[in-house]
Amino acid sequence: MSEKELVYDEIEVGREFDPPVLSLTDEAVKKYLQAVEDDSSIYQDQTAALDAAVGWPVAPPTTAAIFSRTSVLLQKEGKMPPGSIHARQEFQFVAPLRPGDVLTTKARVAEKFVRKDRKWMVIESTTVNQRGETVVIGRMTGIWPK
Amino acid sequence: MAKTLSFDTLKQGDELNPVRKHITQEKINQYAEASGDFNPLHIDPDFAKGTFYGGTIAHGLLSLAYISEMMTKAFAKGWLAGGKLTVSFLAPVRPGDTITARGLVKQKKEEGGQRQVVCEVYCENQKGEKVVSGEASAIL
Repeated sequence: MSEKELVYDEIEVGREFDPPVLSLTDEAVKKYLQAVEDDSSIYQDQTAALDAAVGWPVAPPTTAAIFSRTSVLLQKEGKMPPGSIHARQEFQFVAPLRPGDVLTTKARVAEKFVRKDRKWMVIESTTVNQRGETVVIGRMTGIWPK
Repeated sequence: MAKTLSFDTLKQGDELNPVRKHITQEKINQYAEASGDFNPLHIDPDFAKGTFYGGTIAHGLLSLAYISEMMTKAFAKGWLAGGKLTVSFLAPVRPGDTITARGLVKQKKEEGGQRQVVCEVYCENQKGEKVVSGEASAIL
């Protein structure tokens, strides 16, 4: 990955970011659950998951959500400058995620604007699983640091 | 797990079971590892000291994970497949804060055979200040 920083002025509306392909491994899900301290039984216990009709195993929907942000962070031609500020987030959780899923997130710049001397960017993303099924749709609004 | 909530018994103003977490720099670092987001604003005290925030702050998506946990415990499948969330990050969450995710039933809708519950959701810190605020819905 290039060390060049992707600065605001060089990013055009409509720009599509390289879509990362990320494996939602058992380890990644466990690491995430530990980090957010989520003890929901449907992620830990097969009986609870089946009783809730979510299937087993199942992963938190927000694990794909993080990848929608990582899709912007991981770019071959440059990286997001440090210090970005996340101001607003929208998500639609379309279908359950499962350990073992391979997720591809496509993201594009939907809007750019300057307000009160700050550079704002709106990035829309769609995450699909290995079967091409949409699992998460996102829209992130934040301040680009440079 | 406690039984998930029923569309028929829910009413406007009902409160979801809150989710409370204590934030430390170690937990923020752990989230950075789990999410791949190593923005120095979250994990580098020297960098963060020189910013508007004057110190490290937690990832916005960490607070959002707490709201998601609350909605998962309330609605399970209705959240995992059909959930929607719109939030604004109002104030920074800092190491040392205790964050509580809360939800209140705002509206029940029934359209085209689909039942949806819309909740006001927010996270507040130990001073009662809202740090995240918005709306979340689940399909029942």
